[in-house]
Amino acid sequence: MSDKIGVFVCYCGGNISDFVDVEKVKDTISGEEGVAFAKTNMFTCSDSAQTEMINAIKEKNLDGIVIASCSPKLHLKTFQNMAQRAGLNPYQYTQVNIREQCSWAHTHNKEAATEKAIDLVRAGIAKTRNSIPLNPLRVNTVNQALIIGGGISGLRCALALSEMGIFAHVVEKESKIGGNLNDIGIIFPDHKNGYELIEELEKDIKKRANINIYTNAKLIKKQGSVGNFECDIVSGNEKLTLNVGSIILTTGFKPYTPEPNELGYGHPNVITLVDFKKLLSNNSKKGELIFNGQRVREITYVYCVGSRESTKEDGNKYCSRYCCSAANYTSLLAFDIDPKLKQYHIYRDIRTYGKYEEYYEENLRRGALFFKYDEENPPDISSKGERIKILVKDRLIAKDDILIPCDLLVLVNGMVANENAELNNILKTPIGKDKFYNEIHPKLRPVETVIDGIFIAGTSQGPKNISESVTSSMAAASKTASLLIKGYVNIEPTIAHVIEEKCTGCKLCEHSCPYEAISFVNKTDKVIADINPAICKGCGGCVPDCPEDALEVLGYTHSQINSMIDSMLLEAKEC
Amino acid sequence: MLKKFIRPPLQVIKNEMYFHEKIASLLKNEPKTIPELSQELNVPSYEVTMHLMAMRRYNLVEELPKKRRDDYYKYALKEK
Amino acid sequence: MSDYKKFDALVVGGGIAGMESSILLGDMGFKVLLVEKESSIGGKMILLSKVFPTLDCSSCISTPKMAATAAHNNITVLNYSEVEEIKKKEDSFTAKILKKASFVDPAKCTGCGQCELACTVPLLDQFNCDLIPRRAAYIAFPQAVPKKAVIEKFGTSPCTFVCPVGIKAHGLVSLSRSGKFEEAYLLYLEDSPMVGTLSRICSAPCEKRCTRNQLEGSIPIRNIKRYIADKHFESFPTPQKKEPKNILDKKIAIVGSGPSGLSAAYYLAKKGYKVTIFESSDKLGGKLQLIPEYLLPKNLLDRDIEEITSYQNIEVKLNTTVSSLGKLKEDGFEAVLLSTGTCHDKGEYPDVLKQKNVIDAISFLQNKESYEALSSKNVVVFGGNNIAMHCARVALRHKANVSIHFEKDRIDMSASKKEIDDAVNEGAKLVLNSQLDKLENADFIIYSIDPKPDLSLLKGSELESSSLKVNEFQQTQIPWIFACGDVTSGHSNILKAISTSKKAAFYVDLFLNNIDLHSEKFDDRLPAVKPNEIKERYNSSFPKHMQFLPHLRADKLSLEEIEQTISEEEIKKYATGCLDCGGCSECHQCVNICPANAIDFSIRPVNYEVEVDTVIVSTGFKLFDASKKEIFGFGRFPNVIDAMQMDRILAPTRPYNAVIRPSDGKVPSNIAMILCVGSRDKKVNNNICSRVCCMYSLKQAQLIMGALPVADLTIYYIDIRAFGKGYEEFYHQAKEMGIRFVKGKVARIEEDEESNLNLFYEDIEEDGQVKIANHDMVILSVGLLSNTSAFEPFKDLKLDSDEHMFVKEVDENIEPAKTSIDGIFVAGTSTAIKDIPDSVLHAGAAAAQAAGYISKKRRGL
Repeated sequence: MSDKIGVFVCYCGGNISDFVDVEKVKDTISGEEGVAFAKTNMFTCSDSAQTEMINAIKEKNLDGIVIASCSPKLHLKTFQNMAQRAGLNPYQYTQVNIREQCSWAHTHNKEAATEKAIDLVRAGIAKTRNSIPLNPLRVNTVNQALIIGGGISGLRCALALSEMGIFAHVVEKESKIGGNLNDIGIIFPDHKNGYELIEELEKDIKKRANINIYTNAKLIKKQGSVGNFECDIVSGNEKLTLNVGSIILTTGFKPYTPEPNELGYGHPNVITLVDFKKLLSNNSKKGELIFNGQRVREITYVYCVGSRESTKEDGNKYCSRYCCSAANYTSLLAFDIDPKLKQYHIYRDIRTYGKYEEYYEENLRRGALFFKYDEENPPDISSKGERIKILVKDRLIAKDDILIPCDLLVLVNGMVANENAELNNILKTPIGKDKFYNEIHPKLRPVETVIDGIFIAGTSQGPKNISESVTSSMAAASKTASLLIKGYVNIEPTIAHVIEEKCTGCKLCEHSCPYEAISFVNKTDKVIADINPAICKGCGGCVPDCPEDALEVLGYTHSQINSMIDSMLLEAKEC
Repeated sequence: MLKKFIRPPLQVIKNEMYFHEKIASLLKNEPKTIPELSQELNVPSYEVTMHLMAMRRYNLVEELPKKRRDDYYKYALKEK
Repeated sequence: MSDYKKFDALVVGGGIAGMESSILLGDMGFKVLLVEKESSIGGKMILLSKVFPTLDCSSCISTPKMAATAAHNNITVLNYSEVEEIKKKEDSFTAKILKKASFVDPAKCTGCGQCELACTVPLLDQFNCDLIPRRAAYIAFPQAVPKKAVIEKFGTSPCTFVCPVGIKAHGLVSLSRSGKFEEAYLLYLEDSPMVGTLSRICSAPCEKRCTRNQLEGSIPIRNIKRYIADKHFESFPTPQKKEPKNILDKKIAIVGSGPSGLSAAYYLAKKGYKVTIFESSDKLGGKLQLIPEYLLPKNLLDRDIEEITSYQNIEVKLNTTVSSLGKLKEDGFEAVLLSTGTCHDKGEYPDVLKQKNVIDAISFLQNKESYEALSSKNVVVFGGNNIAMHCARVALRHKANVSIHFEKDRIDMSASKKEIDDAVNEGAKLVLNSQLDKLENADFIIYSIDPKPDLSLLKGSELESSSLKVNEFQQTQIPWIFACGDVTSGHSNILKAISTSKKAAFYVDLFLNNIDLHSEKFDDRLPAVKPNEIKERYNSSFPKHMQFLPHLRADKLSLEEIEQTISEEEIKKYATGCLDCGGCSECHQCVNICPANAIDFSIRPVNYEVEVDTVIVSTGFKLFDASKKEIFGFGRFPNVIDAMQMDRILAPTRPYNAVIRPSDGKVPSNIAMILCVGSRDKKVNNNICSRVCCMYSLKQAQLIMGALPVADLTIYYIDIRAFGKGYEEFYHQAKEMGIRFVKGKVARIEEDEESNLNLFYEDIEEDGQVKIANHDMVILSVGLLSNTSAFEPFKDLKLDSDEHMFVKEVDENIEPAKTSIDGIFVAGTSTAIKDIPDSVLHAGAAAAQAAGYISKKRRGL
């Protein structure tokens, strides 16, 4: 219970104060029961404001605080840490969202928005009044990690973990490691062959005692929570149980396969970029590019195949990022084989970002021609025997038609997420609209998922090239290390709680828990429900299922929620 | 081709304090827009913007709410 | 920073990549030292408005990272510091770090911002991209971590530095510029008394050193001082009685009340000592009393002297000649300051002058009754010092025919050039190489030689000798006897008198407190700013200013003061010419106003040397300077701004009150954005793509459409590179908001009379024609370039760069963040331009590399 509450209302640099009268909110609620101190701040999250709050808590002996600012998604942890530094139990601090849930939603009615903000803050104060100190659970962590996917991201991640002293298990579903890199052909920027990179990594892995690689393997069961997962894998005919502290998903991508007749796909002289690269690296004749026994003299590339499909129903709306650079580099490789080649690029935007711009420049220098088309008017592909004819409305000549003949049509296909249906079912990993794995926050937490301890890296998170995949997998390794090296993690105490006197042991809640955290035990003279704190996620799904109201979530107890409702409807009550 | 040159910002701000008083005295009676101030002070309006925004930064003036159709904000002295 | 000089990792640069790698390494248990050159961490990200593609408020997502970094137990943040050198030492590295002097004690500063409001020196605000000014004392921005003020001072301004008395000339000018004349008077008194007198007769070495001398002429500092003094004396015709808070129970005797004696009394009385001035004549002031009225009005001198004697702990004993130094000691004086000045011994005159119509110059100036007799007489003034010039000019004013004779050439005359010129201009004839015995036709001869030090007091004491010698502490051979002024140096000037007395007072104070005189330095000022530095700051283009025109009395030969005080308006105008050479002017307004007494001008830069196992370079990027693309008119047309400036205008802590255009504050209704300015452009030596500009332009476009719903916005592009996760969708969102996309490069921009801009572009998609579009504001999406200062600390070690001057990653596919030096890693945009999510990932990779490296080292491999 808190009866000396400090309330801090934020201007958020105008994001709130432009639409809500922050001073009025502060003045109105300072008279609320239990409020000992109220103040406004320009940026409550700033270092100086935090220092001020710490001083206020210490000097005025506050035993609860309410911060009315932005969404808890942003600063909940920050302010909990701040409360802790001030000596206040972080669970006697309540975050009230008067930005996303008030000021940003009601930009045209300042008066009403202010009234709503007052109601929300009052509810927060009521919740804090009924709060009790909670302490996080400490769970010992295992200094091992499970990496699912043995492509370049997975392998490099394993090496990084091993270097930092963490045992890495790599589970690969195919019979050999290397993933897409095994037959990708020559890659930029070093002109090496993809499998050479895998061989380098393999050599290093063999030297190490703390990396285990399982091929023909997959995950079949997962139990436990962050820091201490129990994972059952089957590798060939063996079944093992691995005890790991975190799971890193590096399941990679698969190249988009065009539909039959999509841009002429199906015709023997229409191939994808991926297949074209294999062709180039296997080409043995010097000075000539041979395809199906014939010399190729004219090549056309059509970009954005299977990507940026905004008009297609259920299409891939995203950009596959690496293909423009890859196509331009491949075109240079083709020129290296036969400088007399005629190459035509039919594109929507040339996205050779950063240094890769130089591949585009070099192509122009060597005589490749570029034609721009837009999505509404894709090129028209027809064929005459082995010759392909492409009709494109070139935007650079005022959308006039231009006919481009060629011997080989290369469809620059994008990346598509691997389905991993079984895996996703076991791990319940969040998936985005683009079907790749979803990270918590694209800017600041690009390798973490909402499930503590499960990280995503490489192309499983989104299309990227090799260097970017390796970078992200090493970032995942860093995050894992920062989690596990301490030897323990603190688990949130906001978990379900059984009110023993009320529980009748009816077992109606048993199937409401998606994490199987509820079991039943004997207590004195009856059987009651029991929650496993390490597994319970505090989702609250079991709470409404109980007919006796014997289940509540700590930090969101019945008394807290009821008091919040009462205070929000204060005006209505008085009417 | 018109080849106009504006004074670099570093030179303009050397006059800042000198213009604070002048702008304050012009705004004492009624709020004004930047072009109005520029005309009365006979100083390029680009420089007036710099001086006025500095005064706003240091809480000496504030802008008044404007109607949607107005192109310019009016600025007034801030009450202490 | 504590004495703990060993860290596991050194992270150079506190932007988002630096903070991310620090936090990761800190969480892993490593001790990290994060060095940031600005006063706050946060890098470029904290200055942005919103970030793509989520349109999160940038401050909202960076401030928790900044707070987490600052509060982390394993991270030490060294702000306002630069890494000067990194060397290899066996199997680790040593780094030399310079913490710049901020002149603010961070332990006491609360970040209240009062100092910034009181500061009188405007400088450009780099955090607002030079759109508005800030002050020399400033807090970086409202969300700064740590939120402490710093004072930017490049060195001592030349005018302040050259003043022998240590008066803060720059401070006086900057205060006058702000109209704070009373404060200027008080600032002056901190360093020297006699404001009025010096404002008339000081030779103004400050003016000779003023940087404006290279242009149209120096700032008239002495005339500004005149106004300050006159204004103060007008408001306060008599000074208030002053009583220092702690009066010390020590007595000091000062013998002689010329300018050096009076100043010494002033300095010592201010410190709280009980001072007694012994003056043999009936007036205080010494030789100052001799200066004629037309230079120094008597009432001014009297008022200056009153200012000093208003100290209640000064006792004045007129008509008292001190005969014995020993007696002073017996009377309880613990220290004695000799400032008896000079006197003349008529016995030293050449025989030829022992005639009746020869007067010595000093008696002449003292004896005003004799002046009437000079009318229409031929007066010869023999001598070449200032006293001679005074005599000549007094005689002229009493209608005499005056000629000045000197035995050698003009260049040997010790009088100041101005005095000689003025005398000649007023009608005196100058006769050089003249001989005394060949004088003819002279009714009166005024003979002026340099008076010699008055050592009559020393007769009988241990100090008797032909000249008084003092050491560098102004101390004689007898420890409790000090001396200052002309008595030690011979006939000189008032500045030397006051400066030696200030020094003497300083050391008397140390002596009386039994502190070793060698232990404290009298002049501990920062070195003067060099003219080259000032030139660089102004980009070699200094502002034009008006030349100083003194106000002089029309009737030159009147007995009253020649020079007149100029008006307040003119003073302020002249003062605006000040270039603020040293940055902070030391006007002490911040010191006076700081509620926490946090400002300390004795703080000096500190050098740290630390030992670290690994280094992560995360120094970030630089923006392309759009003025290099002259065709776009950046820097010439006020309504052509670059993207960083636009982001600032959109940010919550914006420089303007809303989205308005810089030329006249109009709300723009037709805005253009030009992509690829400075990127993909061989002419400016940057042929690669800067990766983020397409996206940030789309972001800004959406924010502008949100802020100005009725505005039209056009983006002129080559390609739209929206390649990342959620970026293509973001591009669609922008198209749906009604933003117009035109594929075509802009050839040039011209300005019309209303400061609107005409863009000449090639409309590739429509019909390929060259068209002209009129817009009221243009935003240049500038490219991002490498920050080459990343290489500076690596003097002996060779840190490889790539062709575009970024830090080279040796194998970007397998070993991201690894540089050519083993153990040194790179994070973020230091190695290649990237957006924020990629920087965060790259920082994670760098942390993994660093952690792996350290772990490997510890395992002994």
